[in-house]
Amino acid sequence: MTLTKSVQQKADIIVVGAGHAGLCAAITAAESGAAVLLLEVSPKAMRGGNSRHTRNLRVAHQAPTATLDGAYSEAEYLQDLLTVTSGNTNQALASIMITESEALLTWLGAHGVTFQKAISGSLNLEKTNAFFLGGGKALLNSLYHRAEALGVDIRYETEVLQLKLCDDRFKALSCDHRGQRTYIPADAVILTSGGFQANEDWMRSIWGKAADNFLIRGTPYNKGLPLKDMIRHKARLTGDAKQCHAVAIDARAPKYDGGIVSRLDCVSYGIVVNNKALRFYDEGEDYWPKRYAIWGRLVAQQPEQIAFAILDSKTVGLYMPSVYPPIVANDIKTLAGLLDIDPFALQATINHFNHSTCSGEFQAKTLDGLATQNIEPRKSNWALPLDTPPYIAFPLKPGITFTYLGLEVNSTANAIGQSGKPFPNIFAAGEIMAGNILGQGYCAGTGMTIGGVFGRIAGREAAACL
Amino acid sequence: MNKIENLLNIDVSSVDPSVEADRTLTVCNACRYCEGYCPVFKAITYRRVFDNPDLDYLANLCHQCGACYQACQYAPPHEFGIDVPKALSLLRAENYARYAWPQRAGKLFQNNPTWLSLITGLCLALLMYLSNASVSIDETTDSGNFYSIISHSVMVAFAGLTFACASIALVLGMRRYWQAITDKATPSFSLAALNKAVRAGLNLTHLSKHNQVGCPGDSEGPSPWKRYSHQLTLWGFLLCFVSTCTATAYHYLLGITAPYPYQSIPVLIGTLGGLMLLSGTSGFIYLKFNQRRAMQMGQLQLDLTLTTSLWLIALSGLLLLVLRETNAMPALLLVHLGFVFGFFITMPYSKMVHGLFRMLSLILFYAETEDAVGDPAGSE
Ligand SMILES: Cc1cc2nc3c(=O)[nH]c(=O)nc-3n(C[C@H](O)[C@H](O)[C@H](O)COP(=O)(O)OP(=O)(O)OC[C@H]3O[C@@H](n4cnc5c(N)ncnc54)[C@H](O)[C@@H]3O)c2cc1C
Ligand code: SF4
Ligand code: SF4
Repeated sequence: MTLTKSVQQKADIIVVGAGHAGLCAAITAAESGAAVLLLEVSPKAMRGGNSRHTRNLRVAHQAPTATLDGAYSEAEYLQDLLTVTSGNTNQALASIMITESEALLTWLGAHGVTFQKAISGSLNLEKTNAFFLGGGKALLNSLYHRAEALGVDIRYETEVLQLKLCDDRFKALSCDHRGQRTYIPADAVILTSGGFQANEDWMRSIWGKAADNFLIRGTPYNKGLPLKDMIRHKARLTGDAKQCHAVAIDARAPKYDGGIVSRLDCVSYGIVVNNKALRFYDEGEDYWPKRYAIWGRLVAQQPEQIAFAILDSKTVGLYMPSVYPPIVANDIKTLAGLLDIDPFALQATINHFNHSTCSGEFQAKTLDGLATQNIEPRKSNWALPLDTPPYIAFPLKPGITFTYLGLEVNSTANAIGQSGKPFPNIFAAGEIMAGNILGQGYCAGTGMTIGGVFGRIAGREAAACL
Repeated sequence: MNKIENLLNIDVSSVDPSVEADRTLTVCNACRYCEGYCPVFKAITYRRVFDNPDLDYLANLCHQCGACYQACQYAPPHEFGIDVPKALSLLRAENYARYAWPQRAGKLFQNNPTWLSLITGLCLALLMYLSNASVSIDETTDSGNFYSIISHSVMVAFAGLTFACASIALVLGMRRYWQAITDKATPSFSLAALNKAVRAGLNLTHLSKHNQVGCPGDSEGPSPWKRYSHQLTLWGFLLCFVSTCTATAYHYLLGITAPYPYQSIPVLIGTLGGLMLLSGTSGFIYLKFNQRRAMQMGQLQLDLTLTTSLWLIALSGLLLLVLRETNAMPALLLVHLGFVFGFFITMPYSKMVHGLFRMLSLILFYAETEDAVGDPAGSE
């Protein structure tokens, strides 16, 4: 119990949220000589926000490195980014992120983070993404270790509620530590508190009742209170409230923190039906890694936000088993019973689908062009009939990774007011401002690069404005 | 569907260790973040489902360095409650009994390791004493001559018998384990693979790579001190063994009988070995009681029994050397030899076997990695 007095002694810089972005900011500021207070709402055992679930970051590099193959030019990186966001990107900020990405890799290495080559099963990332040995939590453990050694004062179970501003200058913030309210003044604040995907009320206000059926893949602590408070202070926002990274995951995953293991890779080899037993989208449109992120939205649009991937035994072994066991039955009607959907409707859908399949060569690993005929929606690749029992099903639900609505920032990571003037001593990094770069879509490994690059910038700039 | 329910946090101690290891590694295989840490994570990528001998093989590959636990996003209090080193440690302990020959002895020992070790040691000391009843231990001894307490032939008989029993039981137990884990696999064994396995095993490569944070005082972090303690214990033990062999050679080949002078080769090697063994086991005992995690690892009693008996053997041996010309010698000698021979008899059932299980698993691992191609895990 440290927060016994209602007003705490002043810190130079307060960092709000101890994920990857927050730690990068706190360490950089402390190394510049600032006294840093790092406030984190979660208990110590569950620290690290969404960052604890990550496994890699995307890095531009001119030549092969110890853990990255070939070269990945800044131009290529930018192109990949613009392709997924359809140009919905602040290019000046994107260029900073890309240019600084290789220095970030070196910096993390110097701060105790170990990298490894792309892990098995991560397709085509050997050239672009550096993997953390042991994953995001191992990376965070190293950074926490370093922050503690630098004297950063880390307070767990401390939720930041509101910021107190005077003429656009940050003065103090209020926080709650186990029911105890405290005001802490500081010369600058860095907001690294993530998105708001875990804030049920906020999500419901955008998505309606459907939000109740969303699973949150990461931390239950990213409720976006600092973001909400900055909206109250008339900060300029970026990104659309509905934009987020959402993937289709196993419906049996926990409501929060299921992380990576609830993903499913089987969808392209079968069909997907909703709870009316109807197909609703081309399951074989493209390789699954390129499509899994749109399926989150597709499933979110179905009744009760649930869908079922249905396969037969011909393709068993082509996809990784999920952590949850397949639902198996020897005939379609029994399977429908297990899934609690209309058996006749499911049988009809599958009969119709089977009739639309054509003969041709099935090739699991390439776009084989084995498409259906005369059926809506069509299936463009891997369209094998479902005719070999036992039949297999996996339930799907939308899994929200993080929301994109966030604070607009400038190149020094200052939050911007509605007038276009930056808040002089309020900075933002990570998920809370990722929308500047990811207006829509997602490019694997950019979340951590955004957090690391802008976290370091924010730490440096905050220390400079003391 | 029971695997789903099992994903919820459960009291691991009440569950069959194979079931818990299966659940744990199924989560790891869908995650794979720890792939770079050690052979366990590489070996799971060659498999999609885990059944029993496979799980045993994987459990014995683990060196319990703790790196993957520290890194795990699903570690308790996460509801998945993943603790790979603990799950595999519990399964290993069960393996030591299940593959032991005879199995019944393994189970019996596992249930009461401390008492059985103590009783065996004391009984053997008593037996030796009785077989030499003619000699009184109160009698002032003749300048450190052990044979005036226990005749040479009695000593040889006890040593030979206990060592032979231990060797037979060990060989049969290990054969049983090897047959089980290679039952389905037919990897091509090469000299290169064998070489790699032996090196990795003796260097404790997989205990050292990623655990350089922390120190003995650190109650959470993995620490290099475990490896240091282990190496001191292992090489100290082997030096003591070498010392005994040299002494045997002195006796039979060179005709020189004990007591040997302090500067003789058997005594020098034995002293060095004894000191290493004493410091290594002291290190282990210190770590056990000072690392919160170490207390929870599921082999606490087996571990402590082994380390304390080795500690006692080393201490009594060193004291014997220093006090061999005093009145304490007879009692010390009986205790020391009682525990040494007791140690041999119980060896096939004690934690000592972990090294052999692990070595066999490493051999299979390096043979298997020469052939196998990891199974790609899909997307993202
Ligand atoms: C399953 C999963 C896998 C992912 N994999 C990758 C990957 O491989 N590569 C990649 O680049 N990105 C990945 N991402 C995205 C990545 O997690 C994020 O982009 C990144 O972690 C954001 O970092 P951050 O520091 O901004 O936020 P976080 O790491 O979420 O940190 C925010 C912190 O703020 C705290 N906080 C929130 N509100 C308050 C408050 N009011 N007071 C105090 N503290 C507060 C939270 O508890 C949390 O600790 C993944 C996401 C998920 C969910
Ligand atoms: S120990 Fe945890 S983080 Fe590591 S592979 Fe297993 S589940 Fe993943
Ligand atoms: S504890 Fe160490 S040796 Fe055991 S599985 Fe984990 S990383 Fe591998």
